[in-house]
Amino acid sequence: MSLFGQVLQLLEIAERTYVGHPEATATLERIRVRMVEPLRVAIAGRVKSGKSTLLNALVGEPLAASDVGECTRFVTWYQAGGSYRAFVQRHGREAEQVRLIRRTHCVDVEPGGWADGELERIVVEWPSRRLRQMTLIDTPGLGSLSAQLGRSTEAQLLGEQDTSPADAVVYVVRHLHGSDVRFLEALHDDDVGRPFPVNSLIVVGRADEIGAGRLDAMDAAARVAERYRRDPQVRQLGSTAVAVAGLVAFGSTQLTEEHHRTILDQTRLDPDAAQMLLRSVDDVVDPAIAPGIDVARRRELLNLLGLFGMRLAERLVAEGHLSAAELATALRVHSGLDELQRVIGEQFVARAEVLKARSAMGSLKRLVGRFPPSSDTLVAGIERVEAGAHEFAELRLLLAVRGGGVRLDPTEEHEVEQLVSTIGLPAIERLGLDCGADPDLTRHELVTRIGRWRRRAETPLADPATAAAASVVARSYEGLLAES
Amino acid sequence: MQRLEEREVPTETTATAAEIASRLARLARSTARLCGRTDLIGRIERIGVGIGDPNTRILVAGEFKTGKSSLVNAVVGHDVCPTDTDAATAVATVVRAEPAPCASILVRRGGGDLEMVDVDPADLGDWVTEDGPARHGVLAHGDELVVAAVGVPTDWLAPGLLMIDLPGVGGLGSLAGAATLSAAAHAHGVVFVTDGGRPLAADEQAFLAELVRRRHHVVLVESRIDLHPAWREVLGSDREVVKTDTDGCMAVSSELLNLVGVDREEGIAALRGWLADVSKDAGRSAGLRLAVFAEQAGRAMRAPLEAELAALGEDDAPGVLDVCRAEQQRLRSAGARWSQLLSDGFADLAADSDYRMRERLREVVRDGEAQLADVDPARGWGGLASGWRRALGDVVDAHFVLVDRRVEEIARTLARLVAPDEESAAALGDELMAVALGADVGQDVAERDLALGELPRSGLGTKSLVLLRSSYSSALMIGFLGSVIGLSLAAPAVLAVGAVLGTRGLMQENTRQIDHRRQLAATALRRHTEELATALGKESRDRIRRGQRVLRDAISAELESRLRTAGDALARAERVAAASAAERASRRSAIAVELRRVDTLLAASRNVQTILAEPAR
Repeated sequence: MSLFGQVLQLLEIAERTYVGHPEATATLERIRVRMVEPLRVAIAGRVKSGKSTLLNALVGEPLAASDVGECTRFVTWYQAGGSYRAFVQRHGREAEQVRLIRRTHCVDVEPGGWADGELERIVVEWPSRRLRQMTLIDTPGLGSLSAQLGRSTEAQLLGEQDTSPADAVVYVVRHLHGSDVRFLEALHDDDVGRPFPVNSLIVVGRADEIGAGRLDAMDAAARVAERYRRDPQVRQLGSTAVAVAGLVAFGSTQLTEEHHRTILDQTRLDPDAAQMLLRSVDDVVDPAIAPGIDVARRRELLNLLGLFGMRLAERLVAEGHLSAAELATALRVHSGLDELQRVIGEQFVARAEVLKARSAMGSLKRLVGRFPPSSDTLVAGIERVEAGAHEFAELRLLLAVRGGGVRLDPTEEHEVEQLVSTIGLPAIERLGLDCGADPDLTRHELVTRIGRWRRRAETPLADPATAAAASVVARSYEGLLAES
Repeated sequence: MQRLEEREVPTETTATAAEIASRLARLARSTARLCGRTDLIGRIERIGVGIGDPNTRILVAGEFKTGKSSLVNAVVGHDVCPTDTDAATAVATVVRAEPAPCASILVRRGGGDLEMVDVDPADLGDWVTEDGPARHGVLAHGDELVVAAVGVPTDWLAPGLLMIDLPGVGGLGSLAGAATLSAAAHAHGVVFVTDGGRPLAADEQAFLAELVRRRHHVVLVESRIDLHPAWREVLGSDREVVKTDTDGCMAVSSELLNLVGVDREEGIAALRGWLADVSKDAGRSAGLRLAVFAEQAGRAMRAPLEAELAALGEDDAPGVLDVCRAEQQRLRSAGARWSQLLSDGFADLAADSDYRMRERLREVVRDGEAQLADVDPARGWGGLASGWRRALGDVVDAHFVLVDRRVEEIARTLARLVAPDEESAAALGDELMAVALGADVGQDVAERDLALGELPRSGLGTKSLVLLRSSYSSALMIGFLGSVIGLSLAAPAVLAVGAVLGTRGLMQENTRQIDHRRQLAATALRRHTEELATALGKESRDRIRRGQRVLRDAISAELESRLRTAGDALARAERVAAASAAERASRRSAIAVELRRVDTLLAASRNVQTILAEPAR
């Protein structure tokens, strides 16, 4: 049975154990609901690292306010719903419905004016295909001007509640900072009691600013992300790092024909004027430069794409004669949004069941800690699942391999890294074979590998840790073979 | 004679602060000699020490990647500091005007010796960012790059003006932050650079507040205004935050100036103007301190003369005598208590700070051991060591901040005890803190002279470089220890252990080896934390002892001088009460001469204070 199924069984046992215990029953009900709801992905990071912009880009709609200054003051959940509704939840109270207001660049609730720390969260329901895949949680910045905002974020993400709020975290950085590392370390110090680099990924946000907005800025940002991917310390904190130019990413989802025409007009300017125009943000809106193009349109484009986005769009249109739709696609690709969505899809959505099961296990353990049950059935069940579930064995293997406790030769290590970093994904991905591989060939490959790792596990010279690791690998391949 | 002296009263504003101040010091000394107050002469000299410094040091500080190096390049009009989109500046770079481009680096060899090496200015990027190829062959294993210096032909830096491009500060609590604060104590001004795309974050604000609290000249620069559409709003909100405490905010775009020669908002021009002002102003604060003291000294000399004059007038001799006796009584009772307060305060400080430091270090060790449970040190060593280094750095930082604050508290308590009213207590407290800080500066200067004894003097400002280095000494101590930790475990120990176990038997269990490595790593951490505790304990005991000695001397000199003033006044009043008419007349005219001299000094020191109070702009 899958881990997900085993956890559902555990929940049934727990419900029987806690009959007549209203508080525990309510918690269990919440855990059960969690299991069938979409995956919850929190977007966290320091102040002004571009969390809200990234959230808007991921949904493709202007939801979270992203002005100058600190705008995200409350933890805000954006989840799929049948209609446009909003709720506020005060500490220890039932959620109250409030009026949802659509503004030009974000949504807002009325009545507003809540004091910092007064609300546990705001919940916005929004009919969106993207949100049906995962609920997105926007958070106030860590290291915030108001220390309380930062603390409420930590409390939300590091989970002092009975159910842990997020299943996975997208951590946005400008440059990896001491406090980022501390937070990520704390983030991983939960349920399983040790780091868990599977459920978090690092986004180098505002990637366009790294290279001072020059056309090659994304290359520079990609190099920074690459360096983080290789850094052993970072590898223990997040599964991978992606560079995203948040503003361009969001802008690509909102691009209209009108914007496209403005860019076309720019490409028709003489080279000197074009260069003058895109020299700085003040030049873009300077009426003395390129008087043929309406300043209001220029300003709108600047607000939408930023200076780097305008430079990039102008170059793309001038060189490729792109239409509006083609330009939107090109911008999405160049901004890194496509890559981020691919990675989120692979790392989080595809293994949603494992991540949710893991969250549920953590919640169950906290529940048992708070209200010790009278019989041992539940505790024994939790222990059995934790020790027995192959998914957990694989996660432990991942930690052992990344932490350096297993002795393997480089090819073996590469193979195991591929296997464990793709926990919860389809067989093709996990084997690291080309996607077009023939099913028979795949099965043949699996059988070969199972034999090799079985032998590796039974070698008398192997030390216990390596032998254990080898049998976990063999067991994983057997599981894949059974599925194929 | 007297006319000549009076002409020295510094009134004209064309003279530099240093000239004005040294003239005032001469006047104060000669007046003290005339009034027979030789005890004041030494103090005047001690307070005037900083006046003749030929260099003006300006730090360029800020978070990582806010464009500090680009800003320096824009200010001098040359590409001197390497700017990279990824690698950040890792070592402080000193930029100054020179007729021809040149560059040199200061290396601390593994053994601790300092050496100045001339390098090609074009290779500077290799030196100031991590691990450039030019380092090979010059830096051996264990050598450490202390600081890089570069000379550039520019008209924008005044002679003697040093712009020091610092590595990024990662928040107030970080090691680089502590080092910057410590370096700022010896600097004449700080340029704090922040990204124009976002308002100052909490830790940046805290850092600025700390700079301002320490009374440094700070100017805030918003960078990259070419890139951020909302820079005006950001500037507005930052101005609100820092409005009264700094020398101002300016918005700049280094990129535009460096690429197309446009100084948008004339921010760079404004910054150059500020630099020129600070440079002209150098020595101003030292001069101001001297002027304040000269005024106090003048009052101290005037009091006995006034008392005597009053007694000579015979109008209220008993009243004058009572006032003199009461003041003498107050000072005597202060004299009985201050030394107890001082030694208690410092004993508490030493015990407290040592206890807290050891407690914090124990925490680092505990956390470190917990971390070791999950990893094989042979593989995860880089991450572990850098994490530990950071944690240990934080301990050092917190420790010295604690010591500084407590010394300040003690100084202010003592000042309140000795001074007759709150206002003069605050002034005396400031003076005592300046003296305590001066003790560390003095120590650094001594170290500097020691270190430079054998060095060839390179064309660049070697002295000030080393002065900067010694302000980093606490930070470097950690860096050094950190590399020792890394060394003893990452390479020889692990290899040796592996080799020994490997030859003894292939059958040895791998886990046992990992456990062994974990033990080694834990032992290394414990041992080096212990060494750090010893080194830090010694350093801080020295610092505390130095502070105590300096404060003791300062307070006892202050009390002695006040007591002497009071006693003098009393004695004169008593003597006058018994003197003949003729004696009184001749005494009156002698006093008139002395009083005129003292009044001249008083007027001059007040005048100098007015001239120096406002920056010359």
